Formats: sequence, C-alpha cells, structure tokens
Amino acid sequence: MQNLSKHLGILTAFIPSLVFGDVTVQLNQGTNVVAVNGQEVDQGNLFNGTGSLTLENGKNQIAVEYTAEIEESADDFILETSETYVLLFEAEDTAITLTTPDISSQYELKKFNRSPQWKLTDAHGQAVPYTADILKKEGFQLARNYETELKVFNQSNSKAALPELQVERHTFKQQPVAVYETPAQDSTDQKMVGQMLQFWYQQADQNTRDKFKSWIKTSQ
Amino acid sequence: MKKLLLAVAVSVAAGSASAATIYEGNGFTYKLNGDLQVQLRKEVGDDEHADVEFDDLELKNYVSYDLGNDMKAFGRVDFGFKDAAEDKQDGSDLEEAYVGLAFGNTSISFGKQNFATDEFGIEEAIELVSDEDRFDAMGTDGDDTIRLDVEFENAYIAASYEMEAEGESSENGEYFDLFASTKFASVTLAAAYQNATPSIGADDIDTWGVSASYDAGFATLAADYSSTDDIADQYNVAAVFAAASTTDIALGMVNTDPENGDDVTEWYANVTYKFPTQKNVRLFAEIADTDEDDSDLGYLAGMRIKF
Repeated sequence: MQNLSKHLGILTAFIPSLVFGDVTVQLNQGTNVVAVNGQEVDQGNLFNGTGSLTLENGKNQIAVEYTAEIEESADDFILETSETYVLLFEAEDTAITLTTPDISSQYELKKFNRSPQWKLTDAHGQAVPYTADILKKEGFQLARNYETELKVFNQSNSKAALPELQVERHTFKQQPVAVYETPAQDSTDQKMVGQMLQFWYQQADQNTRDKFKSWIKTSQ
Repeated sequence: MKKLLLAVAVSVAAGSASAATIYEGNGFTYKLNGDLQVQLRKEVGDDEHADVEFDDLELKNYVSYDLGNDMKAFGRVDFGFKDAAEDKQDGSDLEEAYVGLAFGNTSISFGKQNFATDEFGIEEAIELVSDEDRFDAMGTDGDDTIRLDVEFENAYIAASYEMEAEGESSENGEYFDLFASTKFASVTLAAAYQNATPSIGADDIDTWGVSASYDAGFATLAADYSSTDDIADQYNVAAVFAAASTTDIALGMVNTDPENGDDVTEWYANVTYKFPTQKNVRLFAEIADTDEDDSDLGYLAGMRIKF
C-alpha cells in the first residue's frame, strides 16, 4: 500500500497544473442552498451558522433561494421566498461570495424573480460569470424533491443545465476499492500498476480527474 | 487534511419549502403565512403583574390567479387567535378579508383591511402602552375599505377610503387616508394624512404625519411626528443597532402631548436574536417605562415563529 501511494504521488507529480484546491462559497443571510451538483443539501442544526459551502474546482451547479422580509405595514412583515434559481459557474482555488440585492418590498421581490440579480464575487472582488435559470415546479410546493427535479433540469436545454452530472461517477473513498496482498519488492507488478494508473487517468474526464486528485490529497 | 463538503441548514425537513407557497400551477398560487408570538410580559404601569401574552397568533391565506397581460386577481383571508388564547373572545377571529385586482405594480382591493396610514410610523418597540402614533390612536383598519396601492422602484403610494355604511352592522365611521414614501440612497422619507369622521354626524378630524429614517450602516436612525388637530401631537425617535449578524438592539422613545393634560414619554430598549440558519425563528426581550406617576418598569421576553 505504501508503494502504491508512492507511485501515485510520483504519477501526480507529472500532472500539469497540480494545485489541489477548492472553491468556498460564502452566502449572505437569507440565502438558502437546496442542492449542490444535483444532490440535496443535508440538514444542519439551528446553531450551525457557517453559511458557506466548499466545492471542488471546476464547474459547479447550486440551487438557491432567497427568503426576504417583506414589509406589510409599519410594524409587521411577512416572509416571502424567491423562485428557486439554478446557478452554474466555474472557479478554481478561490473564495466566492454569493449575495443578493436588499429585498424588502413586493416590487423588489418581483423584480428579483423576473431576472437573476445574484452576485458572485471572487476573493479579488472580480465578478464570477454564471448562468442562471429558474427551477420551476407546478403543483404542490411542499416536500419538493430537488434531486428528481434537477435530473430532469440537467437533461434540458437550459443554459444552467449541467448534463455531466447525469453521468454516473465513482465516489473516491478513504477505504480502497479492493484490498490486494501485494508481494513485497515486486517491481513488475508495480510497473503494470503505474501504466494502468496513467492509462486510466488519461481516459478520465476533467470532473473525474478533479475528484481523483482531491481523494489523493485527502488520503495522505 | 480531510476536505469536507460543508452543508448549510436550509429547512426543517429536507426537501420542504421554508416559506409559504403551498401550491403554484396553472396560474394559481396559494400561500399560507403564519406568525406565532408568545411572550412573558409585565406591562408598564401601576400594580401590573406578569402573564403570558400572545401577540400574534395569525394564519394568513393568500390566493391569486394570473389573468394574463400582467394582470392578477387576488384575495386574502387572515385569522388571528390571540384574543381567544387569552380568553378575551368577544367577536370574530377574522382580521382581514379582501379581494382585489392588480395591474402591474398597481392594485385595488375591497373588504376588511388596514387603511393606507397603517403604513406610517418608525417605532421599534415590541409592545407599547402608548399609541404608536396619531394614526394608530385614530384608527387604521376598517370593514368597508377600498384601497389603492402603487409601487415604484423608489417610491410607494397608498390611498384608502372606509365607507360610512350607515345603519349597517359594519358601521364604524368614515375615513379617508393617504400615505406616500420614497427611498433614495440610505434615506427613507414618508408622509401620511387622514380625515376621519369617527361616527355619523360627528365633526371630521384631520391627522397628518411625517417620518424620516437613515441607514447609517452600523445603525438605522429614525424619527416621526404626527398630529391630530385639537387632540394631540406625538413624536417617536428610534435607533436600531446590528450588534451581530443575528442580533439587533433597538432603543426608542415615544412622546404623546395631548391638547389637554400632561404629556407622557415612554421609552423602551429591546434585543432580538434571529437564529442564523432560520430567520423565521426569533427570541426577544424588552424593558420599558413611562414618566407617568406611579408607573413601574415593564418587561417582556418571548419567541416568535413566522412562516
């Protein structure tokens, strides 16, 4: 296993642009993330106010909503939630801030629902380009199944669709897929292992390569 | 170092909507909002005792139909149960019930609803023993109300008319109300006017008011002044500080100066904590007092859940 790790380390040393990083997305208060890359977000707890996500480098898709306090009279307000927006963006090794305009009236909420005014800004204050579309569901809105809705959405022609999410991928885990009893000092086997690793790495798309690189980094 | 995909708490049950829309489809929308507020309170005043109060216990139902060409028909039926909860039941639990038509950013509605001047005021108290402002003192809701609302990007205008309904069961006077506000940079200005005939045959009474608020970033500062001819003048000053992203502290004062009698000043200080992942849930506490003789400090603490 040590030799395998060593070979993996040597292999990845020759891969260009070798910066194992991630993308953090900081959310403003009121913004809810309901799904990330096609997966519903796990429930947190009442005091977990981190309000941020960590995503892998590359293309990412998040489904978000904004809950606004809309003034109803001088001393009362109601909570209104915006349409569910799907945002698609690409970033590498940066911290992104996701913000919305200040919404406190029905006029402002209507305007927000008509056109996306989400703002993604990177660590240098530069705008991060994104495409957005509304994830609409007709019918009862309680207990929406965002995973099922996003599966359909990502097969559509929407500019925020990410069809690659529909491709089934291996989930790289801490535990090895299979445990082999490798004979000590067997250089022929290790040569074959190295060749196979290089071959399959070249076959992988960018998404699988990014996941593989993240797994190597976290398993060391 | 292990990299984890951090999750954000978004709703009570995974997959459920955190706000009010129950149904949306084929141009029809049904929204249900709720406001549940329970507090332990000892009122400001002489020889007051603490009790559990409900303010509010509301269920608000809103329906709308998209009629096309940016036109919408809508209706609202709101129920409030705080009087029933405090064994003060002396009438209907119905608080608002109206229907209307909206054209773009303009709407007209008919029924049991608030007057335009209900939009006026800057006070930030959770509970007051004084009237909030002169419009609150004169009355800001009716049963036979026609109301017009127009929203612009930086301005809002509302007008309402409460019919006399003489001889009918809903007879409670005749009111004509106007309200206008505008927002530019960090400043919001507003003005309001009411002509009220509280009962048939009585003289009509004019009330007017102006207000201003300024968002200074670290705090919002506001003041208003309202006056009812030959009855009383009133002013409010208030400041709200964001002590943290989850916590607001408000300080304020309301002064009521009647035409006859001594003026009364009531001050208050409160703190509100919003749970970071659910702004629908808040905890709050307040202390207040007036400068009236034999008035003792009042306090309250409670919790509010909105959806």
